[in-house]
Amino acid sequence: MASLPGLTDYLAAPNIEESSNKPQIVSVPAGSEWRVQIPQGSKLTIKQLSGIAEIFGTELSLDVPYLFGPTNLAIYAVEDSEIEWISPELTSQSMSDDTNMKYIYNVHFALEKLRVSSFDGPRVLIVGESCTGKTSLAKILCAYALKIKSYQPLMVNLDPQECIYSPPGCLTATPISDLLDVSYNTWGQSMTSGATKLHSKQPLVKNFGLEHISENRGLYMNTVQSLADTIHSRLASDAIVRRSGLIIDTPALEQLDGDLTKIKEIVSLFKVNAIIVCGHDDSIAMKLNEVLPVESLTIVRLPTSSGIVKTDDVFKRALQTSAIREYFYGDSKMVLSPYTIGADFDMLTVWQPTSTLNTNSPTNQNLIPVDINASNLQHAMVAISYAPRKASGDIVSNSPILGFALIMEVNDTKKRLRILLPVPGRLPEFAMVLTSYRYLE
Amino acid sequence: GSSGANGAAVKNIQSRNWYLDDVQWQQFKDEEIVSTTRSENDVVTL
Ligand SMILES: Nc1ncnc2c1ncn2[C@@H]1O[C@H](COP(=O)(O)OP(=O)(O)OP(=O)(O)O)[C@@H](O)[C@H]1O
Ligand SMILES: [Mg+2]
Repeated sequence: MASLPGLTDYLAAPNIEESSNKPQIVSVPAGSEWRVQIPQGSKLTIKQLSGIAEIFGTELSLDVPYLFGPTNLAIYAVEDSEIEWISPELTSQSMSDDTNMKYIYNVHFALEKLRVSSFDGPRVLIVGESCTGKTSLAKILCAYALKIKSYQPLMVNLDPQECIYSPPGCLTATPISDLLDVSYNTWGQSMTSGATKLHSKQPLVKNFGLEHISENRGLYMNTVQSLADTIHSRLASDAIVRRSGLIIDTPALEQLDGDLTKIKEIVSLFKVNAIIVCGHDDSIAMKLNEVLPVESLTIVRLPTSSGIVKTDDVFKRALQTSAIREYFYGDSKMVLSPYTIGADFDMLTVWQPTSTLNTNSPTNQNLIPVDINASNLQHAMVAISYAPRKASGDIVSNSPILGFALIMEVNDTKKRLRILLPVPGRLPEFAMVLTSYRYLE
Repeated sequence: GSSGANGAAVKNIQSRNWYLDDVQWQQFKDEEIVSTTRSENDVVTL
């Protein structure tokens, strides 16, 4: 155990000041939310003492402690609630009854009607500019869908900057077949080798690998297309998911699209029948009305909540780093044991997505070969594809992925690497794809 | 139950699973997923 890098550091980090913090109690009146920002390096433990309250749609259990790392969240009281909390340092906390929850309930009931009245449930696309509450809305709608009946909405993430049951750089689709774990920024655990306390989730994961969509829009849309194709095959044979519908989260509109052509493509790829625009005014909804086939889909605007926090790149990067750590090492609730192996340079075949940031990239192909050396690979996260090592770039690019590995150390003189694998065993003999993400302990 | 090299009880060691490929995922039924109601304080041996 002691040889596992980073594991002991990670275990030692939390819990130090636990005893030096006094529990405090906050009363949240029905219809209000208590909003907190937990800064980097801090944490918050809460316990619901009485009443009914939810975090992004998921109801809290009474008398159960929930531990949060750095994040922003709101605890919304459905009934008057008393909550005990302990935190060394909250950047800010406030109480507000100015929420958009009643609009979200209305949206939810509209979706519920569609589920009841058809075998083909709602396929909802959530769009909006940056920090307008898109991802939070997606989470709430998924959580609500589980409340009354045992639906299994398919959460589709088209924003490679968000980490939803995956490390960053991915597009994912995950059937939400049980409660969300509210204390995870990544929404909860995905599959591991053993039973977990909360039901884990089985995501379909497609690697985009670049940080910004604008670096290679063609590759991004290929990745979206391949996700959509696989989803349609699942829907054809999975009546519960088909009836429960799709909740699709998207990147900030300004990153995705100048003229809404990408939205149009996505609408047709996923056969979207409802669009929810998160925004302060009607301008985007009106533009969408002009370019989309409004006979076959509904467009509504959801007023933004005053609780939304304008997050910056530093915050996003911290969430991405912790998602990578969680993928390999787990967290304090479930420690995972990744596995380090040694490998010779000639045991690896690595490709890399072409990017506009890389000026000598050819523009006619999606993947180019990468030289194995320290400057290219040190600390890099690589996706391991299902394609054989000798496969062409085209095949690798269209191949599903097995998972991710971290290149821990590259020795150019000995031509050796140390690689961290999430699953014990030998180095899979498959082609790899370098991502833009780096991780060091 | 078993014990670790230093005699202390070992927590069960979990690791991540590889992702399913597209065809496996298309056919997967989420009912197959197991969860437990075990508390994280319970000592579990391999
Ligand atoms: N009611 C609320 N109270 C407190 N914090 C909130 C509330 N709603 C959302 N947030 C927080 O505000 C931030 C931005 O919200 P969210 O991520 O949902 O927006 P987004 O539109 O998906 O942003 P992006 O364009 O970056 O993807 C998040 O950190 C979220 O946790
Ligand atoms: Mg988002």
